[in-house]
Amino acid sequence: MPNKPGIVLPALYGGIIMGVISAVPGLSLLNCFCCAGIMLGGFLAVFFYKKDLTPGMPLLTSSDGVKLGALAGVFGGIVSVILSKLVTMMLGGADEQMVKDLLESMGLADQLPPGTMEQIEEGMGAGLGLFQIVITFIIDPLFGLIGGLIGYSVFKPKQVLPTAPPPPPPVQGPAQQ
Amino acid sequence: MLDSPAILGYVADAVNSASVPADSFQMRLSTVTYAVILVSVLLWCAGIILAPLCVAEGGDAAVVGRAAYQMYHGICHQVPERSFNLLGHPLGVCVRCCSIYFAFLAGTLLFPFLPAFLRRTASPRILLAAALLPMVVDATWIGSALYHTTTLTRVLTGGLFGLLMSLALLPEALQAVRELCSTPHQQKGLSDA
Repeated sequence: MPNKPGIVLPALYGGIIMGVISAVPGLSLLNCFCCAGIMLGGFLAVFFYKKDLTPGMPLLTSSDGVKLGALAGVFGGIVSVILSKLVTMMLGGADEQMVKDLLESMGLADQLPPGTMEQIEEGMGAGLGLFQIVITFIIDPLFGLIGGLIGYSVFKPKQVLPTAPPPPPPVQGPAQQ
Repeated sequence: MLDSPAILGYVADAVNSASVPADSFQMRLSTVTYAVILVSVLLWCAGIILAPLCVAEGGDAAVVGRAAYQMYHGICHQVPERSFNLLGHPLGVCVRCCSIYFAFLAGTLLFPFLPAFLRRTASPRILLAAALLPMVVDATWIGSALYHTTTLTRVLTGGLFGLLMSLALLPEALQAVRELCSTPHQQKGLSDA
């Protein structure tokens, strides 16, 4: 039986997606929806792994989902920290303005509750301190793991119910006279 | 309490492969895993309530409270108008997130006491779809177009999501830990089941 494919590459792809969602201004708002961006990374890591599985290989297991999701979270944390630093260095305060313009152009700025825009500005302007980096490396693997479990629940192979064995052939007794 | 045979049996039985006979090590492992998950969710939910309590207390406690707010900031918008208040300060996360996490805690607490047939027959795919759909409708423009989204709709859809997620994911998490801690020979048996 061929061995299972490696988990590092699918986890890396999922982690890159997770990191980009977490670091790119505007896209990162997706994480306000119960860490959807981070869980999506873990989910996609399982999806990429499932694509690598060929017939004859051992089936996808829940431990694969957990390992892929958590590893994708670690990669996602590294990518998001590096990208966040780069975005802050390149854009300065321009990212806040970009999100404000985006919300205004969509006509959403007036519909938001009072204080929301200030919250968004405050959150984006806060930068990435050491505490936040530490939190990133706790939150990302944790929610990535949950995303991996969701991915396993969705992509897991259907259980084949055992079929009843055929009835035994009738016993040939001595011929009746 | 966790050593009680009833709880041990419930939790071990809750692992979805009921056809695999659980030895005492696996039963204990499932119980410990369940306890770790329960304590983690409990701590996570406690932090949500402790954040405003600590800030209201002032002094050194306020520093802890602000750290808790900062911790939850990465996963929630924390808009005060969309949050429950405690002692004049918003909780660590918004109404919807609060409902999700506290319902997940409730689901985790209830899980060992659910009827066995419910745990075995509920398909995780159906549970996930049933959990996600109402919340996606309520949280996106679809909900605003169909009806007026309120705190109540956020609580109901978020609560349903958290509850069903716990029921869908707990058996998978317990199974995953059993697989991770088993020998390759036992692993084959678990994955065949």
